[in-house]
Amino acid sequence: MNIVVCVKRVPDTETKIKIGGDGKAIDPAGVEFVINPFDEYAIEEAIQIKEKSGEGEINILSLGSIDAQVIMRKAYAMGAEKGVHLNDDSANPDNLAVAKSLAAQLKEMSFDMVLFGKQAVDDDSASVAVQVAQLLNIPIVTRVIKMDIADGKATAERESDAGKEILEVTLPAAFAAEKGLNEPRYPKLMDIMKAKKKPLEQKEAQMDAPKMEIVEMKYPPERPPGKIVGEGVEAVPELVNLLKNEAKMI
Amino acid sequence: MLPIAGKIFLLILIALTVYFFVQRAKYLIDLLKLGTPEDRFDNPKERWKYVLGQVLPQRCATKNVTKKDLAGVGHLLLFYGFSVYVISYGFHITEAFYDKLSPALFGVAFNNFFYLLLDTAGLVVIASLLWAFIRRYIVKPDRLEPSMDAGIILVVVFCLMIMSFSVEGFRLLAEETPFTDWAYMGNAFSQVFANMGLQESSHTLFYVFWYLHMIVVLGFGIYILYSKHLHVLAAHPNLYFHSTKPKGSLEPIENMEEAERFGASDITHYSWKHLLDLYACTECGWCNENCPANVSGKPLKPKDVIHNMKEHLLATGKDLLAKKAEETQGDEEEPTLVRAVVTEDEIWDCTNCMACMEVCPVAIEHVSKIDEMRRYLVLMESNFPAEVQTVFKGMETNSNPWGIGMSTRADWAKDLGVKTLAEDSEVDILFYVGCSGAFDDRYKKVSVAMVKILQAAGVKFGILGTEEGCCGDSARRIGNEYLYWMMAQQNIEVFNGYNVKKILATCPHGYNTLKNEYPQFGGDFEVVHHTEFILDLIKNGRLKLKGGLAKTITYHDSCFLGRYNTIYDQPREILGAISNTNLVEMERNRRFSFCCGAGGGRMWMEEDRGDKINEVRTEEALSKNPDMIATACPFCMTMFEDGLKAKNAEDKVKVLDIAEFVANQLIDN
Repeated sequence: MNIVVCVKRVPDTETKIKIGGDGKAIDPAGVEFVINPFDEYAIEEAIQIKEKSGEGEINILSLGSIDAQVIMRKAYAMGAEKGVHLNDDSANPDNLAVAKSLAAQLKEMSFDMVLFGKQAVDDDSASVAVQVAQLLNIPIVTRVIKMDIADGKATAERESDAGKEILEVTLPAAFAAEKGLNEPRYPKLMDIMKAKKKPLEQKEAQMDAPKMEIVEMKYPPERPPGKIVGEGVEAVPELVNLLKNEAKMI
Repeated sequence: MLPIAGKIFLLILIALTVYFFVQRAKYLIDLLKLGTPEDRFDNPKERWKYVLGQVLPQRCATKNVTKKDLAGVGHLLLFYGFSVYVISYGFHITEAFYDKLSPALFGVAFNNFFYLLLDTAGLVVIASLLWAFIRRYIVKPDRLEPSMDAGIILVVVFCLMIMSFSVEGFRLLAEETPFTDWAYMGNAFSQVFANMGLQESSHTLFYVFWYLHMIVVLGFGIYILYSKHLHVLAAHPNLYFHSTKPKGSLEPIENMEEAERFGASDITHYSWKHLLDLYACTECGWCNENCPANVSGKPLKPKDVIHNMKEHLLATGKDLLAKKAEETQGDEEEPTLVRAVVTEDEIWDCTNCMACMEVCPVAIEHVSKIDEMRRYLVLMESNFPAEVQTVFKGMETNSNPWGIGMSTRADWAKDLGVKTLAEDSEVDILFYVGCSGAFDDRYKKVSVAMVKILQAAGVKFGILGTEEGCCGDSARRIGNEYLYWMMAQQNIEVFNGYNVKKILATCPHGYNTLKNEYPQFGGDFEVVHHTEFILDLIKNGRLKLKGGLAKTITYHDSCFLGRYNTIYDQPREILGAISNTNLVEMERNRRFSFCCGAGGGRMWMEEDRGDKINEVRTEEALSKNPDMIATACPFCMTMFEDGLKAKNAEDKVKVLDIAEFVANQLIDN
């Protein structure tokens, strides 16, 4: 079972995002970068599948600046064997261009499965995985919370807003991991050390000219301050009144 | 003087004793050699001074004497009483071969005095044995568990004393010229035997009793090596080889990049000194009695950990030695110590408070043993309480255990007019704020109070702002040495970048690791805790304080401040300087202080076994009816505030840091 996991380097979710001077990109100063948290579920799942089947290898694929290699090494420490870094400094916002570049690389690799995080927490577009699957002409299950592999087929449980769907797909296939799929492991020190020596192939990414452009970035509206209506039982009628008439929640 | 056949018989007895003794001793020493190397041979002068200073005045045992627990005095009596007997057995043997080699060799006065001393020592030994017997089997204090070993020894030594008196008695009865008049117990026994009509058979009975008591003495010499009384022989070297490093500091992992194993999962992963610790254990139980995990009903009992490790070593020793001889000594698939002998629960229960080590009479190093097993679990198995993963990740990404965005690290100081070293590095002291001081809403107030004090005293100081990193103490104590190492490296680099010489820390965990452990990585700075620094400011008249705070205050000793760094007086002196009322002390204070429950990375773990340690401690504080609880550590503060909430006392009792007490008492200029 050969698995490719696509990972993206994103700002840490705890980072206070500042919009840069041009208003079109974030200011990277003081920002800590991490593996996209959803991609960690994908990596963990790949490792677990491999551990269960006892064969095959895990390849990491990442597109981005040279710093992407830092997070690739973290994926190595968790248990991936090798990987390809598609170097790209353009910060191209066009997800289709990214998907095409990834798909082109994936066509050169042998795999039974391609795993993604359900979305990257920086732009939250949740589109690349689907686009890649389309370009590769393989099925994709998104928001996967459970996976079972048997006889060249995968049974995947996906979460939707309405409930759960259980799908069976023929491999090769793509999957996009949702939180809850597993608990990503904390790497052992020996594996962190070994990760430094694992092979990492660097290539220049082939990127189409973007058909999408960021025009402006804006902060979300500031949250209005909270209100204390009173204390104890006496405050209940007023609270109910406000929830009903002002907040229109009940 | 013995007839020739008697001499031969005695020689055979001695030869047998030596044979069995050497056999066993060699085995025990071979087992020590299974341990990893460790240099504890430096500084022999200081080491001799230490061991003599502990043993001769029996400081090892008497240091723990309290009104409730006088056993240390009993040990002193037994130790000196029995020591006189050990000398007398020497004389017995020499005299047996050549009768000039008796105490009389040194003159009649010495002889008389020696027997006076000996008989008195015998009574002292009997008295302390009875005392020990009553304690063990009637009073039964918690820390003593009735053991077969202890019972055998009490009975045997008691019998030995009676036999010794009998030997004296029969000899006095049998010999024409009494060897001494001052042997009052011997004379008394002789009188009794005379009254019993044993005058005629006294000669024979003397020999019978003499051989009998020599057999017991020699047998006892061998038995020591098989029992908890091994401490009689092992405690002294163990005290000699005690750690001369800063108290409680953990050792770094050498050559982390190349190492093939981290921490300890098998007994042979420990150094020979750690193994010697096991032999030295007297099973006195003082560690258990002072261990917050044990007291709060958790599985961890430090004495049991040591004892079980000893039993494990002795039980598997032959196999281990065989493997070593065949050079098949390797790492087992499954750890043979972790889980098999010391459970994961025990390993994670420890708060690293070092109470066990503080009270241990024989310098056993419990905490580092446990932390070595944690290293194994974390670094080799990635196996630790689930909630700790976010802590590690928070430290990795944002250099604080909460994982709060590191760009906000200096937000607490925004409007205080505090400069960072990047803005002005010409300062006398760096205020290392620490993660709690920077991110914990409650403890940020302590940072603010500290700034107020520094500004009032006109101290030229700076902070590192967002360049400051987590000290890493929690990571190290949880067992993640790699993460700790990265934190330490990073901080040392930043400190050196600004040519920092002196550092002020409020959190005792940062204080301790910066001061005592960063030198392991080349970080040599003068580090002071705010309680030390503030007291100096007060003494030098640099702070104008109102004084006269009329509140009842109890001060809680932080483990990493108190036991780790012997800072007990400074916070109390500061409180004394501002308070009208006497400080009330909790039952357990200073070196006996009871941990808040948050040390050793326990701050970040769920406490789901036993009672909550912080609630136990809070109850203890509340029993003194204080208006305020004074702390000098952010973790202690959190634990008390939570404890007070659990006890519904948060409105009645306030928790304040020493810095806040002082800041509140500043006279505004």
